[in-house]
Amino acid sequence: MSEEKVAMRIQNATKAFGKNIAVNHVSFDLHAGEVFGFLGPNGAGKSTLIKMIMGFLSMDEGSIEINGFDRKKEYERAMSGLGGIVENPEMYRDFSGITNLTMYARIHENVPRERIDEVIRTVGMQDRAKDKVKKYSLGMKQRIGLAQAIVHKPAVLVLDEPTNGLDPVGIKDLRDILRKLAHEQGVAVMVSSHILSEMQMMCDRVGIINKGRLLDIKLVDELKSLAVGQYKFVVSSPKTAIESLGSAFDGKISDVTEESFGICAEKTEVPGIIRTLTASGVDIFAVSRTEGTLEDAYMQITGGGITVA
Amino acid sequence: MTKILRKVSTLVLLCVLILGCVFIPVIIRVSDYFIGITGDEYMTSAEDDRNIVVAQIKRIETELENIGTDGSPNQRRIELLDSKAESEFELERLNLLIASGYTDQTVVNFVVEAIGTLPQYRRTIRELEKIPSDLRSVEQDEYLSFCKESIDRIYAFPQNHDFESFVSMHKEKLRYDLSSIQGDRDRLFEVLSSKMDLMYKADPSGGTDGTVDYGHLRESLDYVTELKDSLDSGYSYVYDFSGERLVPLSPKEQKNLSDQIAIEEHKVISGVFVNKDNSVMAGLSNFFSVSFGKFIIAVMIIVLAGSAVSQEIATGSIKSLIIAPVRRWKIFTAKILSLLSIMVGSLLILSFLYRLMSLVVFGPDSMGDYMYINNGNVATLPYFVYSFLSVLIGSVDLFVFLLFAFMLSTVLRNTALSVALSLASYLFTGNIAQLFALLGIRKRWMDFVPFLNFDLHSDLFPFADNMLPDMIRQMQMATTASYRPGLLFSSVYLLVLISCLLYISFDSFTRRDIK
Repeated sequence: MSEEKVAMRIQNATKAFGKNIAVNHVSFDLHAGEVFGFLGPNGAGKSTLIKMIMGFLSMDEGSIEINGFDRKKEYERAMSGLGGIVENPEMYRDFSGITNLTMYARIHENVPRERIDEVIRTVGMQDRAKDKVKKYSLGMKQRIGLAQAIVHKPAVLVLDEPTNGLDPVGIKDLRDILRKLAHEQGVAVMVSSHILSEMQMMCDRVGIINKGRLLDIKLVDELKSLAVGQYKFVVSSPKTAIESLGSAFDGKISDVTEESFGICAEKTEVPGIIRTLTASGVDIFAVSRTEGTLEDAYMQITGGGITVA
Repeated sequence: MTKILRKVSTLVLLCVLILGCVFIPVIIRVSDYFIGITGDEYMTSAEDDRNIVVAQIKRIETELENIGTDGSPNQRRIELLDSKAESEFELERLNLLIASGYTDQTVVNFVVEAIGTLPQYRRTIRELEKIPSDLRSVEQDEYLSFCKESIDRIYAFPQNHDFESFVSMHKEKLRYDLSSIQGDRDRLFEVLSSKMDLMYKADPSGGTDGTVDYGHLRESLDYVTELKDSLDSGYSYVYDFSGERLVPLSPKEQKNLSDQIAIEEHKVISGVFVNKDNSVMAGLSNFFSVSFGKFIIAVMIIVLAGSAVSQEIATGSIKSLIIAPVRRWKIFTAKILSLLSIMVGSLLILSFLYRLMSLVVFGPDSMGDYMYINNGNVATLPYFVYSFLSVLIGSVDLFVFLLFAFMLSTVLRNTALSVALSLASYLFTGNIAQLFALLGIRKRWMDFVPFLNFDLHSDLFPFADNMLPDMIRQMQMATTASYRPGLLFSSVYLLVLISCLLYISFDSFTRRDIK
């Protein structure tokens, strides 16, 4: 993990709007070839941070380095390694998708015509590229927006709430493209969202942000397993079963019904539980494991509950 | 169906605006055909007039008979006799006109003018003959014989077309007329007789050979005479809300006047306005085309500039620009430059189109060159060069409004407000200038009102008004502020104003957050 190339380094990014500190000394590294997710409730500071990275907002404190170039010192070289979409991409409506792309490509250096065609194919818009943007659906605009963001082969791709307004097919397509870009082409992709299930499927690493502070960064798998396994026991008498376990699993028992109960336990503890229950005369009908979800980890880390900033 | 209607109506509106501007020369030409802009008044024929006069004389004679003669002087009888005499003079004039072939009273040349003076001479003779010959002075006798001689000459003019003779006759009459005037007779004689000399120089035939528009020539020279008079007296008329006032001429104004006189005389001698009607119409159409064209483009450019930044922020398309690896000041410069090129480009194209149309409709001799004074001599700028420069100079004020709208767009980030405010101020400036002109106030603080500093054109091309027909010239004089800051002051002022607007927009665009 530490050997991976750092595509973007953010240090001490801070932004305050009046008395409200929207982003509070956030620092992290973005590695090449990974999909990094930024997770947090509404108002956590995700969008603000992304806008700061992209240049919409000024940074009160802190520095950003993209592809090795400091943004303050070598703005244009740094920014040419960055591509992004903030919320929904907007293009000039009276021009066609390909014209918009071509115009945008001109701002960058060395983007040959073939690259534009290639990028259109990558996002799957080859049939509709010549239509005017005002005729596009949201999904199509998203695709063209993505095309625009990658046309100059940036090292870093930043997306703010990219799944906003997309249908499940669109979301899946986006996910596939992003993972492909990262894992096959080595692009560092950073995505922000508040939809946990999506993050779970899309990202390699996740950073959790709340009230402007970066609380933790973990690998997705780590997070899942961190939420230690929940096991569900379908038994003849849950009450007896729980009593028999005694105080060893205090506080780890939940979802008690007439037929079952849930218990939070590590994998190695399971055989012991089964033996204890059997010894107490409890009949066991089924034992199943429910995967720890990101939600659990999220709730754990943020201290539970949605906080409205 | 409605879709087609929508598209067509937009197209129609656009076409009406653009083509309307370009086709103004055609419209003027057509209007002239129907309503006679060039002021060829409808005149009754000489024969009709004669009939009226004959009837008039008959009526007077009848009344005289009724009054009868009882030997004693009768006030009414004297009046009637005077009246009859006047009518008879008029009849004589008309008869001569008709006999010389000038039944149509719209023809203007020296012969007609001379015939027109017949009644005056007759009247003078009649007055002088009332005095018994032994009581008449030598001058009166001389004058009497001069008048009789003149009448003979007038009768000869229709055949011999001797304009030179008419000029010398006219000059002699001047001397007699001036002898009764107080003041500097020599100076007046100088001025008025030089006018006649110039007429002769410009057209030795006196309008009879049809090469020169005698009427227009005379008008031009009347104008020159007016100017000379003003220059000599050291005063000029100023029109404002308190009416007509005499105002002393400043040295700058005096120089301006003498320059103008030189140019007008030069025009007359070189025969620049050969075809009067065409150049009047061309001047009129140019005036309207310029005003209208500039207005359309002003509205367009203010809308474009007023939405340049605010609209991009509103629709979100500014995101692509901000993310791009280009510093914000470059984006800013690109926007300003593109707006500027649209403005200048469309002004030049439109101007070219309607002048081309004017050329087609009115002919090449309506395109007068621009004349100015250079080191005491009259110099010329070819027409198209002048038009090109004129458009550019005249667009400076548009540029200021462009920047104003752009600045509002950047600062307020609200398209509707930016466009409304800048459009309103553009439309209002004309009124302010007029207001100040009317009030006739000349105060130092007025120098700093932006609107008075826009008119660089009048300072750089002070003789442009000479290219306009008289009626437009009057309109221009009424609307141009009589007091304007000097060229240097205005230029510096504009530069400062433009820099301020640019700086405010620049700062707002490059440093502010875009949420």
